[in-house]
Amino acid sequence: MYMTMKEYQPHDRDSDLAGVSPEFIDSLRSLIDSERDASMMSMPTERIVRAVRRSTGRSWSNGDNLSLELMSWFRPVFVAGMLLIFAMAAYNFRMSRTNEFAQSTTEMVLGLHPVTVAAAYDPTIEDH
Amino acid sequence: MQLVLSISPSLLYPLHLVKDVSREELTFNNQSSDQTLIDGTVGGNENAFRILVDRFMDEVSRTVTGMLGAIPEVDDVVQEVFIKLHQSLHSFRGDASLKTFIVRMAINKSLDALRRMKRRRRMQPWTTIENVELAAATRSDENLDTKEDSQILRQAIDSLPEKQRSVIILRLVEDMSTEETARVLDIPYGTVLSRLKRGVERLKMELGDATVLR
Repeated sequence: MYMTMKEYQPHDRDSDLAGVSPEFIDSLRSLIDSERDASMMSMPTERIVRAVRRSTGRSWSNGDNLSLELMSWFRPVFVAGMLLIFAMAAYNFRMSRTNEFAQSTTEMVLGLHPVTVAAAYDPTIEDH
Repeated sequence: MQLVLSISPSLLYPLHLVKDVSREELTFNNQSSDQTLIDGTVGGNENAFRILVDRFMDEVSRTVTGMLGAIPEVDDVVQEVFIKLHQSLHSFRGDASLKTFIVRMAINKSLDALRRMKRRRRMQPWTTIENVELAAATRSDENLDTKEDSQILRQAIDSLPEKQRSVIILRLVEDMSTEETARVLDIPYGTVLSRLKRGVERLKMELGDATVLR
């Protein structure tokens, strides 16, 4: 199932391993290979993939791909809608600044006439 | 009704994309580069991740076994390493090789497991600990000359402090260079050399006249 480490061959970079015999390194690798074979259960890759699938909580289904595509299509529509709203608010604000009567910022942005007690009882209501 | 009919043909388009994604799965194989497999995994391709797991299973399982010994927790820790890998692949920037990244995770997860086991041991009665150790030792004797040698060697490895043990495992078992070991453990080159020297000396002292040392 697993690869066993190849027999140890000393090379040039091993100057720091002086005093460690190749036989000892082989024994160490042999021990760890046999311990691993004893401790690992079969088909580890499949079990790991299943565990990852569980931990992520979902797999990529066709429905996921469809919703992602729909989101990407409607993103420009959303951006264009927001720009239109900002343009209209700016237009209202600019036009309201020429009015002679005092207005709150909200009224200016939304393009509303000021609602006062006097205006409510004003008989020429059709002007508003 | 007219609106619905005008939208429905366009809804078929994503299904084309879905077919493309499934066709992409066939393009990953054992010859694919690490970066290709990382991109595939981050993009949600299960097949790419499966190949990555296969590619690094030996390194991870050997490192974890070297650190922990022949215990049932090895399987769980190996699994934890790959789950962690899957979660953190999107942040992998390629500063170090993928092997360095994965082996570092294996060492860290093994150290976490050792600490958990130490905490658990403090709460266990002595007889249970002895039984577990005996069972672990008797399972690991297949490829060595005698059962006694393998037990002595495992006890010697277990007696090493965690920092020295990780250097011994990477340097002697995984056959990494001193530079690679320093990169994996994120310690200076000189520290690897001194830990290796002290670790080997301690192993020799623990093994004494045991045949495995000869």
